[in-house]
Amino acid sequence: MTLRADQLTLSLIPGQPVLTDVSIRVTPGKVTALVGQNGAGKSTLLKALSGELTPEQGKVTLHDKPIHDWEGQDRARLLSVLPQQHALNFEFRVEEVVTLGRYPHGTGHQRDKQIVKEALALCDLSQFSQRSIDDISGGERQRVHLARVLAQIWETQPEGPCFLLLDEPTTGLDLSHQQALFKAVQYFARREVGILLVVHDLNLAARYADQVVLMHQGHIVAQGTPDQVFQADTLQRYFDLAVTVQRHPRHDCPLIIPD
Amino acid sequence: MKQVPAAWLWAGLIGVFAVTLLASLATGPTHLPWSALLKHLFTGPGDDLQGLILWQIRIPRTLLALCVGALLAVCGVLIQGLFRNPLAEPGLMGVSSGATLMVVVVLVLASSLPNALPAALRPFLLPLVAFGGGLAATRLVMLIGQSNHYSPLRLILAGVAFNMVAAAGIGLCAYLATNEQLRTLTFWSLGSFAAASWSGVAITAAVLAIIAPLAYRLWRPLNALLLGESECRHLGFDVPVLKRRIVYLSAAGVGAAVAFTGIIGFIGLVVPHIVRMLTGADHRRLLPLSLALGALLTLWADWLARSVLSPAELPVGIITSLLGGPFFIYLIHRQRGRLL
Repeated sequence: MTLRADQLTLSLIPGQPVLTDVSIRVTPGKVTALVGQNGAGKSTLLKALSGELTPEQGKVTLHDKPIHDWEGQDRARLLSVLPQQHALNFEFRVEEVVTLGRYPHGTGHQRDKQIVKEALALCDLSQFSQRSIDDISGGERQRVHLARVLAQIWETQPEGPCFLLLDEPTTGLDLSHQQALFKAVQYFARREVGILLVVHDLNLAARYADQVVLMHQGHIVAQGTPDQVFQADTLQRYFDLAVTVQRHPRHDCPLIIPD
Repeated sequence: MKQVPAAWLWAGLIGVFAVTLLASLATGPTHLPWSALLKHLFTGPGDDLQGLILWQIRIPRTLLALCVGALLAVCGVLIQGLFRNPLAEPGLMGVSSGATLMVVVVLVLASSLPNALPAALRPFLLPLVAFGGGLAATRLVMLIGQSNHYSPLRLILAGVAFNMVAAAGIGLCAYLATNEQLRTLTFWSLGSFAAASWSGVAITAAVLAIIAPLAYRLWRPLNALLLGESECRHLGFDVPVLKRRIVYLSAAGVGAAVAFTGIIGFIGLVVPHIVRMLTGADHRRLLPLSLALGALLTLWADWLARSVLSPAELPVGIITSLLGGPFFIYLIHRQRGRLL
């Protein structure tokens, strides 16, 4: 019972694969961080896992059923995705945007309202709920979309655990809200949600992720615990940057410092 | 902007509606006193001239304006949702110009065709041709935009290209037309409710009765689509199917409207925008309120068209464009920095 990709090969332009023979498993109850340089194929992998892109080879399965065989609404109840960019040209109120996350569910107006309220509170947005999405800052808007995708997988489903795919969710967030985001993500992982997130801040990944997957030029080149993946020589090789890896003085995790 | 509760808007709309309806029925070259108006309204046409004017001219005309306005506004909401752009309008997809082109072609190049038909069918010829032309134009634009899953940009570009070709065709026909044909062409390109008949009312009302509930059923996916196509998909909706539905619903709606009244601009653009400014972008409120406000504004425009130069009358398209154009400039100004 998991979300997994097996031996995916996928090209956006014919003959130039963005992913080559990539296999990954998003485990319920775990936070998996996907790291790598720009253009390594992280967002493409996320899109393949969500079924938005179809690979030429290999397959993606959600609870052992191919992702494209799922009915849209059934899939959306189990799999929630936060893309990298949001374009909203219309004046929605913050609360209305978060309510969109409840569309796949038939849980009724009262229950949906309650969940939206709790999701807003979790993302520190209660005071903005009636504001127009145009009248808040970029970071606050990012949190609104985060609250929306969390509201989508708020409750466990009879079909099995839910999954959450986040593409650079910390973009535009200040330090304290970055920490808050990862704490929210960990809270969902404790509720058996499987989480995969693309993140560029390796120290956040080191501290909060249970597993790290390192991608380079469309391949997965390392995966394991943060301690296993965040080795100085590995990072130097795949990020093209000299780094020192130490122990974090207060938390039991690696601390990566660029030289 | 502070949003107005939808219930207040409905109450206001219904009140204004009642007054406008009566004013529309009373206005025209022949003055109908209130007493005669109310009497004939409840007792039927009777034998006198006033009754006939009311039941054969004023009521069909008023109802046609209501139905056409409602259709244009609902289609405007659908198209703006599809393109995720508040400055889009149904004409972008080539529906109106396709309909007009076909009408012009029949009028000028096949002018003997109406005489070849049985007399009972003649009044339906041009509406049917317009409807078919609108649908064919949309189908063509959809075919061009089809690769890449009907990407909005591709559809707009295909629509622009089609509109240009159609304008050239209309221009050519106008060049070849006789004086009498030119007058009819003006009717189609500027829009008018002057030729309203009960059969026209019945057909547009039927199309509205089919399209409005089908459009309303799409309020959730339309809301989701505003976030973007991939978000809409992640929320569980089948985006290509949704886009196809939107395009065909609006083609049928605008096609039916254009078929009986010619091109009436700006209702489809301006009405959804006004409602959105008042109650926000949620399609659950936007669709029904736009339907009502579209009907009301079109009725006002027709009332103005009949009143300004009474007893003569202006084509209603001139009124809507005259009022809609400056409003459009205001919209562009207001959206500066966000879209443009």
